[in-house]
Amino acid sequence: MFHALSVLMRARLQITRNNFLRSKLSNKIGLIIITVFLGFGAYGLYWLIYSMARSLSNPQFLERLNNTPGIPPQFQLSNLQPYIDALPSQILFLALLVVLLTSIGTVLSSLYLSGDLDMLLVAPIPMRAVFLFKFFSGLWVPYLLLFAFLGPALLGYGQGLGYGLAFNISLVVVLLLVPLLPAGLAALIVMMVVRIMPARRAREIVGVIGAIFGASWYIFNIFANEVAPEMRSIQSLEALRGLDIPVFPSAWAGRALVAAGKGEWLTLLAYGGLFTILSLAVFTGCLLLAEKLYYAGWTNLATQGGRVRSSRKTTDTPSEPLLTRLMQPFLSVQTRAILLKDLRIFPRDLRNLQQLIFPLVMAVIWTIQLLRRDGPTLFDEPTGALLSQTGSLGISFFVCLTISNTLAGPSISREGRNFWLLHIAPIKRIQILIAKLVLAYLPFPTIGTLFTLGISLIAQASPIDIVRALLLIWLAGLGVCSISLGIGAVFPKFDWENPNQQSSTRASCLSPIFYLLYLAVVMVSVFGPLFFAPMLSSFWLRILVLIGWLVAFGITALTVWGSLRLGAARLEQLELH
Amino acid sequence: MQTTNTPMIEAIGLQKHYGDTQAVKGIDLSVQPGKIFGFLGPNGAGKTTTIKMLVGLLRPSNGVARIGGYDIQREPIAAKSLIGYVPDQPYLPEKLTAREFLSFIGGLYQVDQATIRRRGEELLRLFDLHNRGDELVGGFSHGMRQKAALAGALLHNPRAFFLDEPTVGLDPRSARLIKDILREVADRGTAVFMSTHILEIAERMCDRVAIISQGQVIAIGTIEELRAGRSAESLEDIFLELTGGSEDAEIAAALS
Repeated sequence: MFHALSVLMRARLQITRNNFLRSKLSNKIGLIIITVFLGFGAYGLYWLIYSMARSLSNPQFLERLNNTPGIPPQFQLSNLQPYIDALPSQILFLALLVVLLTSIGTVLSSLYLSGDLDMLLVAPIPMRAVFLFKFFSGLWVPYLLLFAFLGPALLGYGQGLGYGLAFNISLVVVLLLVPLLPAGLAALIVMMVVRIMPARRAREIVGVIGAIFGASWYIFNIFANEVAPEMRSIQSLEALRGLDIPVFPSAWAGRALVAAGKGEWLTLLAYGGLFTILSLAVFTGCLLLAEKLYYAGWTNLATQGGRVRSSRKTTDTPSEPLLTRLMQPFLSVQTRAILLKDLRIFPRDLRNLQQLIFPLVMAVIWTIQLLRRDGPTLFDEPTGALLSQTGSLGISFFVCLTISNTLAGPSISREGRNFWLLHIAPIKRIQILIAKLVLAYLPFPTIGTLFTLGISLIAQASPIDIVRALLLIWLAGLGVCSISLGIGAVFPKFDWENPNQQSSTRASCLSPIFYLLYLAVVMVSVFGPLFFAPMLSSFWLRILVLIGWLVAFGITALTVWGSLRLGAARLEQLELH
Repeated sequence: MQTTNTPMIEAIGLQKHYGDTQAVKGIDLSVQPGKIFGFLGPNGAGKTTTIKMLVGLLRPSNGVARIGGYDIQREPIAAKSLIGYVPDQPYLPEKLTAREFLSFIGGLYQVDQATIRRRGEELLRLFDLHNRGDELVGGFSHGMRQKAALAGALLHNPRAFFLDEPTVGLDPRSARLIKDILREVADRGTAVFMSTHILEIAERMCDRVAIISQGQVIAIGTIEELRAGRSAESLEDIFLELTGGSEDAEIAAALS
């Protein structure tokens, strides 16, 4: 088994080395820059925590803290040491939780969705060797983050408190062991789930659950002050100290570290031993069970397609839905075919729905906060009214843009390796782009209209303000969708495996810049004249407003036309190797 | 524009360079309507590159590719409306059912709904996919995807049909089915251009073959024409003789 492992690891290192050496110069430079930044970040974190730990452990600091004017009585402490000692447990609790939540997805991908699995599992290599190799391959990112951030932070903590070599050695051991427990549990869960569900489907569901969890955490953070205002006191520190109770494995590790620093060897042996035994036990359990479970899960991979769609007569070709039939007078049959295909595919991939959850939650929360704002009613003053209207417009726009990006992705790159079907079809490139533009733009006249109307009516906006808001949403939406389309067509990327990697680096960098430029011009054109209202008569103000709108329409028309022409010209030159 | 004597598929001096590398050095060939043309060659000879230039996925560095008399670079819409193409690894939209996929292809090629319905069901039945027409393509095996891709390529009755390694991954029954279908398609007047490694298929099916090696066509003609003046009897022997494979066979024999 060890020979097989060494062969696999050597191959992995060769692949990594070759990928780096044969990548473009820009990628190499990018990687070096990221590494340098990581290094600086780690060093900065070390010094920050080191300084904080030294300050906190200084008795004069506590005295000055308690004597600082304005510090309420409930924040005055007699002794900081228990809170300082509890810090490693709290940090490690967070680390274990994050690794557990992220491990399910990474372990699933690593164990079951890597491209070389067929080759590895039919080769005369022990199943456990493959499992070990894949398990740790999926953990390299958590390990990197642990050693890049958690390690320097805890090292700074220990050295700031004057802890010695024993602490440093214990820290390395703890960092090596931390991912084993959560990732081991994740691997067990994954191996059992894959026996009953295709791995790709499981990955999609994990993504949705992760998004729901992230959204819930965000909601909790936003409303925590309202739900539990009494938490803003010394009791909240006590609550955090609760993470140091020796029920949590993270507390065992944290207490072991502190014991190592203080030279309490029995305590170190007890808690360190507990944590080590638990981590290794879970990991060993995984390894033993992998012999059967891993192979059983892999053999189930043959069924990847998911359920058969609802029963219909076998002679029925799917009929065209109402939405695309309504577009018949405006779009060619080929454009409608592409649009219909994209609309069918979108809800069937849960990863698309996953990307919608968090932005929608944020939009709802921002809307609630905007409408609940204390003080004078929203439209008392012209400027205040304008700013408030801009805020609600911004929320509408954000919601529509997020849905648009999720729906249409980065333009034609969404097609991925299937683009050859469009490339060989007798369809003009501009028709392909129009289909993608319609898809991307759909949220603006539909959801954008409803959302803007809703917020405006609740906020009792005037009819003119409502019309202006709607026109802006429709216009700006068209402009940014065109920009995304054009840039996505000029810098396409078709060889992605992960939908999160659909956009090329250049498209990702350039799109926001052009969005901002375009939106700035449109906003200035539409809202700019309103700032001259006190200086002009109503007649000249109306003329100026009209000119502003004409400019906005003109810029948008130019943006749409330019993006389509540019994108079509680039697609004409495209080659698919 | 096509006349009765115009080849359906024509390559005139096709070349493809990648920097200093010449993947295809100058290909001249033609395929008449109703004929099956086999395109043979060792790995890396330039078969797929040539096919991709003919169907418009790659732009030739030099030369002309014509389909039905239309230059595929200058009149792409007209040329592509005549083409059906099945690559060696057909990537299909995994989240569409087989029927939805055919409906999508029918839309791209402007086939009317009634024909999509009728012909789509015929093709699904022909390829034994009609009971799985409502399953997502992502759940299909490689062979089933190949058949789904074939169904899509035949839906609009192409006049020029390109296949890159069509029988790879197919069971013998399906491979036989493909051969029968290709013959039938050719008999209806479609020009079939097929690259393959399986020389028995080329020998049995193809009206004419071309052998490409290192980016150049080194032999072209009917099997009888290729046999003429050579000691080799089978296409395999001709192929190995022309592409230098016979020396490898001798070395392999010496080593064993």
